[in-house]
Amino acid sequence: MYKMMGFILTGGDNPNLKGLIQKRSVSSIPIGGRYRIIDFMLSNMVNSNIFNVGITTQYQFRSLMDHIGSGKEWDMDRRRDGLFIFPPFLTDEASSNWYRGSADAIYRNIEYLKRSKDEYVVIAPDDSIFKMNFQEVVPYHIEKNADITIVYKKTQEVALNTLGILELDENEKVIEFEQYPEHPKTNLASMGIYIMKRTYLLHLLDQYMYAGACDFVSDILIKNIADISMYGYAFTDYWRPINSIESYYRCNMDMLNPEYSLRLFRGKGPVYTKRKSFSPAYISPTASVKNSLITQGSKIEGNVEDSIIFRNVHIKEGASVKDAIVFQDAVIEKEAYLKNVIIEKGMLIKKGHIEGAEENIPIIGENTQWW
Amino acid sequence: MLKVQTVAMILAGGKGSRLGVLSKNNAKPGVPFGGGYRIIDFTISNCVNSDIEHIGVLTQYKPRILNSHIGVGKAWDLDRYYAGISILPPYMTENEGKWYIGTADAVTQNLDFIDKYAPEYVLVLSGDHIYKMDYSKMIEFHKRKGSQLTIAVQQVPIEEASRFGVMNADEQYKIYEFEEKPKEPKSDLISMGIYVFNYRLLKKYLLEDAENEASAHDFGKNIIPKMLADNQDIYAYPFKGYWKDVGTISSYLEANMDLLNPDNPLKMHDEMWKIYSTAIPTHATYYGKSSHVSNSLIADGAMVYGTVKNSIISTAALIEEGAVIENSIIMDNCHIQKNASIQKSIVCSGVKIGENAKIGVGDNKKNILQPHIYNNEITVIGVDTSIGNDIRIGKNVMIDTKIALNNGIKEIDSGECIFKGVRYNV
Repeated sequence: MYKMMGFILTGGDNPNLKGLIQKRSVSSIPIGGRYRIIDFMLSNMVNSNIFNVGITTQYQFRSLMDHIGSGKEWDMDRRRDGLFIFPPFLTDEASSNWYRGSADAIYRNIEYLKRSKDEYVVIAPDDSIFKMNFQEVVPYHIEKNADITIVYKKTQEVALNTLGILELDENEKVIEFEQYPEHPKTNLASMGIYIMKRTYLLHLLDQYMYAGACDFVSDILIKNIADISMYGYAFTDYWRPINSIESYYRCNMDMLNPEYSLRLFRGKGPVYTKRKSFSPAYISPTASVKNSLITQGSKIEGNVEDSIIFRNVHIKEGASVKDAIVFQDAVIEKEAYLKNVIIEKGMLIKKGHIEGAEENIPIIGENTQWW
Repeated sequence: MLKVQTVAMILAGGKGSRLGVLSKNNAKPGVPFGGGYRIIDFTISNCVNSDIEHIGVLTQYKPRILNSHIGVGKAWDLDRYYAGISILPPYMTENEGKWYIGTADAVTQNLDFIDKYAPEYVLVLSGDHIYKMDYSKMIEFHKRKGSQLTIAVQQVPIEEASRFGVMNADEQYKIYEFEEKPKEPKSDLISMGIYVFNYRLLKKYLLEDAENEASAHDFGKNIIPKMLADNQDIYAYPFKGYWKDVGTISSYLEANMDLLNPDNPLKMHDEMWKIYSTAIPTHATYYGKSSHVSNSLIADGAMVYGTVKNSIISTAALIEEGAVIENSIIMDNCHIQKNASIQKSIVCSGVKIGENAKIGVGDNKKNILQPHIYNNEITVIGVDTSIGNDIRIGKNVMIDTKIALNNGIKEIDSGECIFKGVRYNV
């Protein structure tokens, strides 16, 4: 067991997810019936025996703070180590006190890195859905004598031009690293997971930050690809970055496939999330439920098919919900027909026919005009 | 720190012998209930919802599951410095180790725990009842009456009262007589086993009772009759809500089934009076394309491909395609394989039912070994037992825990038992 710490980088505003992030950050978007996106990464940390985790955050982090709290649900409310949340803060010198990028966010919290006694550090994004034990990367990292090991996924399912694309030599050494390429040369997508010695990260920051680096990937890794020995580590299981409404919707729908969902929900340890006490879901004699995920506290009296129903949702008799995602506390009245939509938390849908298309999923929230 | 007004002492040491195999490895308050709870969750949640946050849980019989379930009381927000929940098992002293002999003795042996908070009142509760009750109202009543001891009572049809402890009270609810299981009850008010004592007086009576070698050291048998004989002011507090002592397999199944009633007075969805429980981290339940679910409660973490009617399916159960479950309770982590059928049965945690097996079918025959426990056509299958493919199991059958049933057994007839590895049949 290697001693590792984690750095989860959140805080990016993603215009492609507009609609879902009006009141929350990307990491706290609800997913899969009872989770928030960040639960997967936090659970990966815990399931990798990493209990010293820093989270940098900047954009709309109220919901994230509320969700994570003291880290209790991830067993991170600890005396030694634990969970540390790093919002931006005022300083005397900086011209802008907001984080100017991922490297800046880490650098501004360098004290945390310096104080740690862990040997390795995992830098990870907040917006991906996958299950992985990071411990398994370290022997590979040592064997390759790498400065940094980048976890990548060979993929057809994900839009490559939204990702960092790697080119590797026959030894899996990174020879090219391109961000958001219009014409990707390979289909090897960086998962945004970087594993290195903690001392090496300190060294990198020490060496490059004075030159005004902001972004960890473009300003440090890509610019200095000749000087940094980077290796790729192939991840072969299910992985989806959530960077658009479409990818968000698809990922939810993937969870209706037990082949994926059992691996995601149960493989490599559980997914931990903020627990609430709700009674088991009640399915009434008038209900019909097919190929759906339903969460506790919900009461289903209508028809639900190919959908994901979060906690404490009430779907009344006669209502029809298909290919939809319904967030916590929503009420769907008896005359409503929903198809290919996302219903925001706490919404009351009285009647009417709301139908989107798979490539254009409407999000029905407080401020949506849809009638 | 504010002065502590009330300390609650929950009696959770009972064996629940009429629950048979359900409580074989588990004290009665620790028996699963309603798909996602254990019986004691109701009492602990009632305390928390009534703002009673100093709680002792008296355990004795097989407490392992209760201990890990309650833990430090996290689920009830009772993991606190100056309040919280403490599990109080029997302990060794300088001279000897003593089991809790009776309910009063259990409290007497933990007077130090209560003294630490020096409360005005002590609330004595049973950890094995299903109900929602605001104890703070009962304490208000106790204060208003200037009572020394207040006993919560339920009104039952008078012909049923003879099964209970009956309180004979005047129109002011002042109790003048207490009769344990009287043949001809004079009143229809039965004790719910919920007591509010003035602590100073309780302590005096407990210490006196501890000296009395003839005493069974029991609240119902000794402490209350003694207080009555001494003409202490004892009042009955009438409670009108839903209340069930799930003491038998039938009443246990019935109380579970009550949760399926949309007008169930327990209102499990009520935000204002939640029942909290220690939930394992799990996922939303998946309902397959072939699933048919009707009038059922389904906990998280389950996978349902079969048919479920009028039943309760607990956490992380797997119901395969073609399986049919009716009028039954399937506890956590059960695996019901393809085309198996389960009728009016209680299937305990971790049980595996093989393909095409039929449970709870056939004639109604009396249970051969313990008909007072296993009756009403309910079949019960103990924890971690595995039933092989194609086996038929009748009604009123009991299969013990951790049995692997296969090897040529084709049929277990109604009324049979497999108990401690031995098959009891006609």
